[in-house]
Formats: sequence, structure tokens, C-alpha cells
Amino acid sequence: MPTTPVAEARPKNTEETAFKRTQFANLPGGAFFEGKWHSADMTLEVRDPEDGVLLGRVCSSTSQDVERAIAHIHRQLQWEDWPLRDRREALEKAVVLLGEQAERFANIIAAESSKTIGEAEREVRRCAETLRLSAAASGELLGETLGFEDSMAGAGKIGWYSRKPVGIVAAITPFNDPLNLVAHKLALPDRGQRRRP
Amino acid sequence: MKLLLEAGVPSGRIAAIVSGPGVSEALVTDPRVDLISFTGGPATAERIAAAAGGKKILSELGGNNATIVCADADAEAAAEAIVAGAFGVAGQNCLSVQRVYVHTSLFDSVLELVTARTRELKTGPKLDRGTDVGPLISEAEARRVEEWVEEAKAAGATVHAGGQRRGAYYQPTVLADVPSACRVIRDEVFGPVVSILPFIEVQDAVFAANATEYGLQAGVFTRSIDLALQIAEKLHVGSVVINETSDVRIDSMPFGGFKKSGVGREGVRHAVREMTEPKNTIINIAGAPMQRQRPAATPEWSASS
Repeated sequence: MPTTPVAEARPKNTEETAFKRTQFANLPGGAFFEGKWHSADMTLEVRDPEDGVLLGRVCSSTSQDVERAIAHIHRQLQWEDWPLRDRREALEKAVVLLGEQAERFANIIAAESSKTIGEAEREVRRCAETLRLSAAASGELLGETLGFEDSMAGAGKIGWYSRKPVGIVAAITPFNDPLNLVAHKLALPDRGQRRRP
Repeated sequence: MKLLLEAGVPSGRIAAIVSGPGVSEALVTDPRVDLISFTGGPATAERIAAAAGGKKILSELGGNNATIVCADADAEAAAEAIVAGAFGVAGQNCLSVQRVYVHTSLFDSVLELVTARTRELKTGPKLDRGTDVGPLISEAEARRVEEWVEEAKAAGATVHAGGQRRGAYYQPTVLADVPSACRVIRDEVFGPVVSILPFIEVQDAVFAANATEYGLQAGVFTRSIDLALQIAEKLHVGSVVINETSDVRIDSMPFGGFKKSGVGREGVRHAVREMTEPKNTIINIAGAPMQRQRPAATPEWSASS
């Protein structure tokens, strides 16, 4: 491995570190499945790449956790409906909440990732746009009537199609856009989702 | 997650976990999972596809994005856009500018402009609004980028800006004279390194731009509408951007690539299509009780007086 002439660590700025850590305080940190937060085994460290400072810890989940998570969503989807109008309202509300919490989200993104504060703020604004578009996307699920009248096999029949969610989506998300790219996979007027960053 | 739950998403319909390597096997092989949506690298995508079997997979796997600067381009505008596109998020952006093909008549001035602007960029604390470029996501990644640049140098590349690592920071770097076998040309560098290369004939630039396993987005700088559209037609990418670089996206557009850049499209309405399927509902109207018959008598409302 080639050596570099300049490799000293950046001196730690204690005031900045304290500020970053407050953004991480009171974050769940655990895994969310079976309708609740699980905070066992918070062993995965989240460090600021800029200076290696520890920002917080999150759960490291297991294959059993994954199985339980899928099983729960699978059961819920069979028993409970979530009407499209309620989905749209939830997404519209998410836009409002994100606007209220924008600064905090931007600070978290900037602390734990490579993004500067300006880049992080842009990502939060884009996420709001993605959520807004998602709320407005329900028309995509509409379909068309079927052409029975013009088919030799169609006598006496009518019908239509609409678009239905395929089922459970497993979303695996990247580090470089921790908010907006998650929103693209998760915030659709759609069925159960699981993400694994 | 917390925000979505607060907004009213039912808690039984979503889950979020973080895990180390190996656990995603359980996720992608579970028969109850109907679709996998993955953003990451092609090698991991291959493993996921092998494990997942017949499930529908949507993937966004990155790019090695080219920008072509034609002889009639606005060199200043191109240079400014190239610097912004190459070094945003320290180059860790699937749309980042990695290879720039410049017509020989403009090559020296574009290289000089890009180099000068790159040298002005400040790396530093992310919370400082005077900082232009932050660190890579880890020191290991910075070391990888360093290794790739050293490989290019050993093969004859010249370093016009940057070329130094400090912890997880790697300086925004501009290379020229890079042989095409070098990793900074061949693979996705995912770091703050851009290579500037000359061309004489436009078709050579197009060929070189397409000579990658990826096919995500590309930029073309020219003032000729005919040349712009001819080149756009030939570039095998998900988006061609004229008079800007590959680093342009709006969240409503169909987003994705060809070849190894992935399968399917994001962009909200397009993702909704990809994650749904048509379902027919058909009604059979059997033995209609009402039969048409000639009326027995003239109806009272007939027009005859």
C-alpha cells in the first residue's frame, strides 16, 4: 500500500462533536419490526467519517429478526386493509413533518455520512419532493376496461384491470443518500416494505 | 421510519433493520418476499440474484458516467459543470462525472479550467458552510481511491490537481493521460477523481463513452442541436443531458440505466408501475333475463298523428 506524506488525523472539535451527538440522542437506534422498536444488542457503532468520533449505536439484527419481521408483515397484509386515500394522507402528512424536522434530518445526514451540511439540506428538500410525488401517484394504480365486446371469446362479459401491489418488498439501500433513496423505495402508495441499509 | 409512523403509516406494514453482512441472505431468500429493490454495486447484485431465485428484482447499480465536450462547446460552462458533477459528495454519487472526453481543439483550455476550479475547492468539516467537499464514507474507501490513482500514475497518468489522502479525506483530483485499462477509467471510482481525455472524431468519443459495462447517464456539451441529438441517440444510457453533465436528476423522471447499471426504473410513478401488476376483474353476464322483442302494438308516443 503506497504511503502518503500527510496523514495526520483532523484535530477533534469538541463543540462540534457535542452538537452532532445531540442530534443522535433520542433516536430509536433499534430495529423496527412486529409493530415496535427493538433495542436489544445496540452493538453497531455509527461514527463520523470526518474524525472517527462515535455518534451513536444501532442494533445489529439477525436472520431470526428478519424472519420475524417478514412473518409479521405477511400476517398483517392478509388481515388488514389500508385504503389508498389513507395512504395518500399519510404521505401528505409526512411532507409536513419532514418540513418541520428538516434541520435535524440534515444535521444527522451531515454527521454520519460524507455530505456537507449544504448537500444534506438539498437531500432533505429532495426527499420532501419525493414524498409529495408519492402522495400524488395514486392515479398510477388506475387501469382500463377490457375489450370483451370486440373479442370472439368475449360475448356476455365485461371487465377491467387495475394495478395491484405485488406484495412484500425487500429494499436494500445505499449509504450515499440515506434519506431520499430510502424514500424512493419506501414511500410509495403500496404494500408492506422492509428495508435493510 | 419514526416520521412515517408519526404520519400514519400502519406499524404492521413496515420494518427497518440494520445488519452486518450475511443477514440479507435471509431477507432475499424468504419466499414471502415478492420483490427486491436494491441500490448498490453489481457484484452484490449478482449474489442477490443468485440467492433470490425467481423473484422480481429492481436494481440501481451505479455508473461510470461520461461527459463529451464538443469543439463548439461553451468551455467555461462545461468546466464549471464538470467540477460540480465530479466532486459532489466526494464523488460518491451514482451520477458523478468520471470520464470527460474533450475535442482536441478545446482540450488544453478545458483541462486548465477544470484544474483551476478544482484547486479552489475546500475540503474540511462538513458542518462548516465554507467546506465544498467532505470525506469519503470511511478511511478504507479513501485508501481504495488512493490505490486506484497510484495505479493510474504508475501507468503514465498525470495529476493536475489533488492526489493526496488525509485520513478519510481524498483531495478532489484531476487526471490526464490515463490509459483505458486503469481502474479509474474501467470501473466505477466512487470517489473524487475525474479523468480528462482528448478526442478528434465525435464517433470516437461516443465509442469511448459507451465502452463501459455501465450505462446510467451521460452529458454532452455542444451548441449544435443536430450534433447534440445525434450523439444523444447513440449513447446507450438511461439519460442523456445536453449542456450539463450526467449529474442531473429530478425525482419524477424515469431513472435507471442500461447494461450493468441495473434493471427497472425509479422515479415515483415509474417505481409504482414496477412494484405493481395489472389485475383483471371479469364479470360474466349469463342468460340475460330481458330479451329484445318486437313491440305488440304501436307505442303511444309514436310520431304519427
